[in-house]
Amino acid sequence: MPEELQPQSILFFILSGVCIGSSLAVVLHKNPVISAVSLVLSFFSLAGIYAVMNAIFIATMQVIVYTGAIMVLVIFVIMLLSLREETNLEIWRNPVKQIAIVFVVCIFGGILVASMNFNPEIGNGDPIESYKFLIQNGQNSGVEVKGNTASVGASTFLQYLLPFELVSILLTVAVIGAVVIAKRDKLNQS
Amino acid sequence: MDWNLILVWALKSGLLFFIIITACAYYTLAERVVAAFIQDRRGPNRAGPFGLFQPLADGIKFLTKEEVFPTQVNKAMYLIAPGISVSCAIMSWSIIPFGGTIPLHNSIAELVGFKELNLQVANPDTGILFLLAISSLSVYGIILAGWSSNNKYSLMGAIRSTAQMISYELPLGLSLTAVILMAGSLKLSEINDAQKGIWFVFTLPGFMAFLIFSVAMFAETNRLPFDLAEAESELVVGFHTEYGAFKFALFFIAEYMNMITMSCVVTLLFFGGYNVPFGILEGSSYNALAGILFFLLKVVFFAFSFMWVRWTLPRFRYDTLMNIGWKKLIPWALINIVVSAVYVVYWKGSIG
Repeated sequence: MPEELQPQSILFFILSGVCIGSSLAVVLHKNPVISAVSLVLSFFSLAGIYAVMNAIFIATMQVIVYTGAIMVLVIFVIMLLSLREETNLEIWRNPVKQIAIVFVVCIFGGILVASMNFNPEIGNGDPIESYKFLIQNGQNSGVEVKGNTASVGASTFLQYLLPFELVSILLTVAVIGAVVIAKRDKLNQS
Repeated sequence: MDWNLILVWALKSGLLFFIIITACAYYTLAERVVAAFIQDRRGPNRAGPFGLFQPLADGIKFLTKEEVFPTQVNKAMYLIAPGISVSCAIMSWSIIPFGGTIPLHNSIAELVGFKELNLQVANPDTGILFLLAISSLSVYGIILAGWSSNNKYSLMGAIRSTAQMISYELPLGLSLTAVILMAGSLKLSEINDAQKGIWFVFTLPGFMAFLIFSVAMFAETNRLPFDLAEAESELVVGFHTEYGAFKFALFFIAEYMNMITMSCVVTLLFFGGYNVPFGILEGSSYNALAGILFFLLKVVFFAFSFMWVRWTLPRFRYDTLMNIGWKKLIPWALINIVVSAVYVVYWKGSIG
């Protein structure tokens, strides 16, 4: 590492290590509940990485939405279905799948190497500097921004209001669709 | 970021941890004394004067008990679950401000490199949302404990508790929205400062939010009248049936910590936090210290009300619990958001 070892970078390496390790455990562990719990850990360390980059609002939302809401339901369903341990050795015996796995690993390895060589112009690699750069250059709305939450709010409700409303309509449609599908049997009976 | 700042944070965290553990220990004693008073008994009075060493004796008992593993438990998850519960309970304390900033003496200020000591370990920009995030994580402790115990009662208790906590997080979050709208900030310190003139509980939307919040608060901490996760008459003790010795003690500590956290939060959000009433000590150097005193008084009152409710009200049935959550509290909280928005636009200017 060229620059001085900062607390942020130490935390980043710890958190990304946990993230990679738990993501591997999601795929490789035999027990579905433990896989789901590792996915929670992976989301949580991702939130930690956001927090290290000073994006505390995104980090909090990551924890509330993914680990707090979605994964609880996933674990709930896995528990209720009481899935048993599975074997993951069969995947290695099929030659087509072997070729596919090698292919996927090559592609992602290539992307990883390319992204490590990619050197963006902003803020010479320091996460906080690049964050400041984004804050300063991403705001043409003329709104005074006091903090992290305020800047996210301002860009959501001023700069990107139309996409935000479209997404909320999409979510409403999804909710209504889920209700209609769940209630279909009752409607047919009556 | 300087290393001395990190050192001060570490010291603050360590001190806070010590204070919480002691507070929890004496909260358990207080619970037993209050229970005894309400049921017209004497309560613990053998260990030390007025039974003051009782928590110490309990702690030693929990530590020296034999660690029992029931057959066919999932050992890793069985051990991790109480850890998740207690670490979430501790983490949520990190953003609670116990008082304002205390001005440091010059000699100390030169040594540590800053002039004011903030009585809050962390003050993230998302404040109260961070607290919601942590409380949503504490579900995992319960759900994993129930699943890994390999026991029907544990699993039933865990499922009930998870459904209850997910359901009551919604009214809790929605009632907070009214407070956030009135304060205009998510930071707990700024919500506190916004109540300098009038406590939020004395405003119409604030009062409604307080009613909803206080019901949801009991459900979130799994206390009577909403302790369906335990329900000893139906489920033995629910999700921690198979837990003994220190692992049980961790669940126990987590429950009491969550109650103290909720008392702090309700004080900060609705009852003026660490503001000195009527601003009588404004500008004085004792303002911060008096603020801590008033804050602690209010927290002790709410901590007492947790015990008071527990030993007074009977337990709800499961379907009535869900009815209250989904059909009563959530619509009220949604109406309250509109009311608070109207209040902020039309009335706030004349009062604040």
